[in-house]
Amino acid sequence: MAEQLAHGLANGLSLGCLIGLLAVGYSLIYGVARLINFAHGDLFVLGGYYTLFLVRGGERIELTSILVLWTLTTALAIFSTLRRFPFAKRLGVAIGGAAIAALLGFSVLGKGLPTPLAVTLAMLFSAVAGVAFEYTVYKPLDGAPRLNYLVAAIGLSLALQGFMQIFFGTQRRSFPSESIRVLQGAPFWTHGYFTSLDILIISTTLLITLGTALLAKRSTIGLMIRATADDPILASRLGLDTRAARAYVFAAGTALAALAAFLFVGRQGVLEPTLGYSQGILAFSAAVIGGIGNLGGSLLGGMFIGIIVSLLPLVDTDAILASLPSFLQHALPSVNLSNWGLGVVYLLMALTLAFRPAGLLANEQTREL
Amino acid sequence: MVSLKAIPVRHVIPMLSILLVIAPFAIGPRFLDIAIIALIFTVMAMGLHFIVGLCRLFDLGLAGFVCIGAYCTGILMVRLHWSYWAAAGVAVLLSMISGIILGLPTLRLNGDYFAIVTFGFSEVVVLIMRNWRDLTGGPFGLGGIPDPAIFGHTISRFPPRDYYFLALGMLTLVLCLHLALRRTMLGAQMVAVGDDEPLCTITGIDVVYIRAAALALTAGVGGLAGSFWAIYFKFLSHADFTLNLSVQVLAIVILAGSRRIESVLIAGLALAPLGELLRRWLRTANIPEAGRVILYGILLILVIWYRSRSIREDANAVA
Repeated sequence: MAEQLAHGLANGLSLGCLIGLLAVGYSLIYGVARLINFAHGDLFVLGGYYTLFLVRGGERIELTSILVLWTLTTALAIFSTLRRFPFAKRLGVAIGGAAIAALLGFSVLGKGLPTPLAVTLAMLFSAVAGVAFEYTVYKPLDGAPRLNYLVAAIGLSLALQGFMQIFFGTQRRSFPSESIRVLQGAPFWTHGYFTSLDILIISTTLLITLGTALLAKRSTIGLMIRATADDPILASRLGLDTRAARAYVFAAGTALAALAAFLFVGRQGVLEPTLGYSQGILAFSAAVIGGIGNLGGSLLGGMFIGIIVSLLPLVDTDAILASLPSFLQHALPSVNLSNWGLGVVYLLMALTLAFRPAGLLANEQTREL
Repeated sequence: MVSLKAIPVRHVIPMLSILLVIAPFAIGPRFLDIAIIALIFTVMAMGLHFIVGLCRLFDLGLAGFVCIGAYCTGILMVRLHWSYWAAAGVAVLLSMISGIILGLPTLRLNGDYFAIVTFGFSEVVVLIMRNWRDLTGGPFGLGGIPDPAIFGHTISRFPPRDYYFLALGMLTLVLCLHLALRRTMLGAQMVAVGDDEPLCTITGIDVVYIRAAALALTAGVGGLAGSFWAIYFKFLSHADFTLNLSVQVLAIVILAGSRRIESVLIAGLALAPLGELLRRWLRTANIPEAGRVILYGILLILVIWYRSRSIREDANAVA
């Protein structure tokens, strides 16, 4: 039993780090743009596909469609970030950028790049997609009630999911085993209940989150982002480019999601278009439980949820049922708690919202809603 | 709805009622089926209007209430051989109770948190229906729901004209509920809470109570629509009650875009058949399900862009 418990804990910690990485992205975007990016989970899956097609070839249609997506989002991102220049110049630069992007994509996609390079490129591609969607989908809503953003995000999520289903197929994919040998090999890393992959996941997540938090605390861009998060109107009156701050968090959040996708698919061995739905919800719940807008809190929330989800199957419901009075035994159905992970997470989130709406790790930076 | 603006609002309901009574005699069985589905969606939209339109709280969990209503009716009729009317009554009550239970801890929340919690609620309902195999048939669904009988006369499924009038009756009931609510203090308070919640708190209106009432009404109407769903489609699967359903109904309410119930009525009766026709056309044209999902997503974004532009001019606008 103790053995199982330790395994469950180790498993949960590593799964929780992945959820936490996604939750950090949610938190970043929510903190600045004040919108629940419902499409974050789908951008996570898109990042996974980018990595997949970079480390390994896909079929022709898949490569073509992802190339088109990459070129299109690059053009959009360039065109919308250069808004201080006259229209013709923006258009010219955007077309030029798109051409370079197309060339770059053409030369790297499907060529079987080494894994670290592929992951870095996938993070870049995803960041560009995040910025492009911020400008095309969310920006026209400026000044509208916050809930309109949520509806637009659901629309984006549906559209992305449908796009991936049509062009990448609904079958489950995974990375070729040689591309993740880095993750699985190196047995000397294995320690106790943790596999080398788990150790890699946990250390990467901690390092990246720490790095992001440091950037937010120390760098000029981080200062700008925090100022925008605190008071967007005052920040823009003081001459800060709040639009750019939003673009930065979208880029960072989506890049983190792509990294999380690589680690997730490397660990679970499953990549499918509808994956983003459940993972996105788990990550969002983690962010809410930990305190949305608070990076460390979100990461801890993710670990908490990961551990809960992995320990649930260990709960011996039959034994609990047997210890109840007999009239209850007949009334209650026998349940297998492993089917109920999502339900338990929702319950935890609802309880958190009901009793501590700002999250468990609320501090003065976390906003009461 | 530019051309419709020429019609005075008070003429809308009489005109629509004449149209709706004549319609089943004028159209064939295939379109009758579409008309019935449109009526179900309109009823759901009118139900959602209580909380989204009047109180301006975004509820993404309507599918959960519809699911409770449908499964409750189905289980009572199939497993316990209850009559439809009793089962529907219990279904409505059960959804209202679940709405209140959901509402009490969450209605203090504002904006997107409420949306997410209600969404989580509907997912949990679907999870229960999927996992409680003995009662709901689990992943295999619940089938064999019988036709209801009215005064000893069993309603016939083919052609579904009787069902059409049953759905129309349901629509009339919900419409009357809305029209009656509009004249009461409670209705006025709901609108006030939607307009300015802090002001309501200061003037002594119990915001949580008003919102709970609106959510209970939404849940009850959702349960009613669900009970009709059960007897009309005859087969229930947990996969029918996803976010997609909630979002489709929400899109009708948002596009209707006004607090007046007439606009929800028009939007529902106009959009729901279009959505259903689109679904059938895509199926016959052999376009995979995902194509529909893309289309819905893009339409949703376009709708919300359109609404966001007009919101600044219209004080009665929703969303």
